[in-house]
Amino acid sequence: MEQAIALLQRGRYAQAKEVLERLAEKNPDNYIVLHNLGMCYSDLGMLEQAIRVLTRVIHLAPSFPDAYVALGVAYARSGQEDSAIVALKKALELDPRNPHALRNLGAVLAKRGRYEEAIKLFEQALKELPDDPRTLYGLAAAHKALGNLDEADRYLKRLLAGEALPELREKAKDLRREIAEIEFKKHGLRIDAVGHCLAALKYFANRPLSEVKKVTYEIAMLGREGLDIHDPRPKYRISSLPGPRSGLELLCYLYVGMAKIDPSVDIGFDLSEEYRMALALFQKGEL
Amino acid sequence: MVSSLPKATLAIIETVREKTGKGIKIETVPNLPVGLAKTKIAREGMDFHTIFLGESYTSLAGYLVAHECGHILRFFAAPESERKVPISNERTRRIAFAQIQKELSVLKAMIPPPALTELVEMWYHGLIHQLTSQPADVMIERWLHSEYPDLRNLQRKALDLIHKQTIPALDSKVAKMTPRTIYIASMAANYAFF
Repeated sequence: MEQAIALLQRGRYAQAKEVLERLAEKNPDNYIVLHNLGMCYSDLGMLEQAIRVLTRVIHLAPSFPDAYVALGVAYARSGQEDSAIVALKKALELDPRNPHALRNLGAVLAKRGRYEEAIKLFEQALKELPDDPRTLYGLAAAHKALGNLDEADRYLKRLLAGEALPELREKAKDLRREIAEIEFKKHGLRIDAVGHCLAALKYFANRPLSEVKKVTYEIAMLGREGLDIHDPRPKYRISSLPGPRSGLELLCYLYVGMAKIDPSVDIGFDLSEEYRMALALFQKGEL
Repeated sequence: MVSSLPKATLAIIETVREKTGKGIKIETVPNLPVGLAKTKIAREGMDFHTIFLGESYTSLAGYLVAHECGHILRFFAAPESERKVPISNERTRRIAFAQIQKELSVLKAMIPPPALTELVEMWYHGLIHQLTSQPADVMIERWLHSEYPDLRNLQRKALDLIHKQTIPALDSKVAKMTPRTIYIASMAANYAFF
């Protein structure tokens, strides 16, 4: 069992599954083994098997809240949200402060657009597991959906300041980018961005594609950690462009560079209107 | 410039609008890294899907736009949680380049470093494009052919052009100057496609 848990903790689900299946064969009524096997199936996307095994766990141990949580998660993953809600509520009946049940029920309700209820559950979950990155992400996404952008960004910053799995960190960064984009577009066409795009068009005009790529990819790498586009101060330096630049300036160079390299690539921030105006000015030779 | 589009293509664009809630914007660009046309699918907050046409291929716009709409419709036909796009990053690049390391060291003797760097990029992105796009392309071609007979002439012309552009890759000189791992995979994908 210890070997299986160690494998699960390292994310080696396929290997853990084999060990757990052998254990389950030998101990068909051991609900701990079956619970871990069910979660392993669930993480491997074998959802039918997961639901079958976890339902068996509930028969064997009807007062074991974690089995209802795992079953709820498997139902949610297989798109059976009504059953997921029933299972997760049952877990909370048995253990009202179970943070996993609170968080997962919040996630299912948020998926259904019931954001206020989801936020309440996430907040309760956070009290039990402070700084849990998944709960922070759930809170941020729900607040964003309700238009509470500052609040959403606050939770994302908190998530990124702590320890989270790389995949979740990337999702958090993407969400921050989306929030920045919404804030940016609030005031319509941004003339400052048009100016930066025009400068980038001029800068790239007579340079070979290899140089455009160098600048673009360097900004893209820097941008992975997030560019502050709201601060107009030139606080970023990259080796392929002269002088310090503001976040928005670099974002515009990235957009223009990518438009030259492969216009179908979505850099995660839409500057199409600003770019189009800059391109028209550039082609007319104005400014 | 794209002057006018066939009725069949306009009908497909309308279907995209109905199914996705967003219209299509067509832009011509001087060149694309691969292919005759490419699409940027609109995310939340973007008003249009954008189809980019290589400016040398605007005479085929009726077909190319219809084909790209096929990609958009296929994407939106999937449940939201399954709408994934392939990505490549530093990790995938490292894995890919590690696989052709030995073959590249042989080519280094024949191709100057700056040109080899460009070629490696082209091979890498070209193969990703083949792997991720061609299976869908086959389905889209079949769909266009059966549902939109008015586009068949343009479809034929475009596929003939793509075929013609692909033939030079069969030259033995190209084979010698390309890592075998990439060459075999790419030619096999082309063979299956055509």
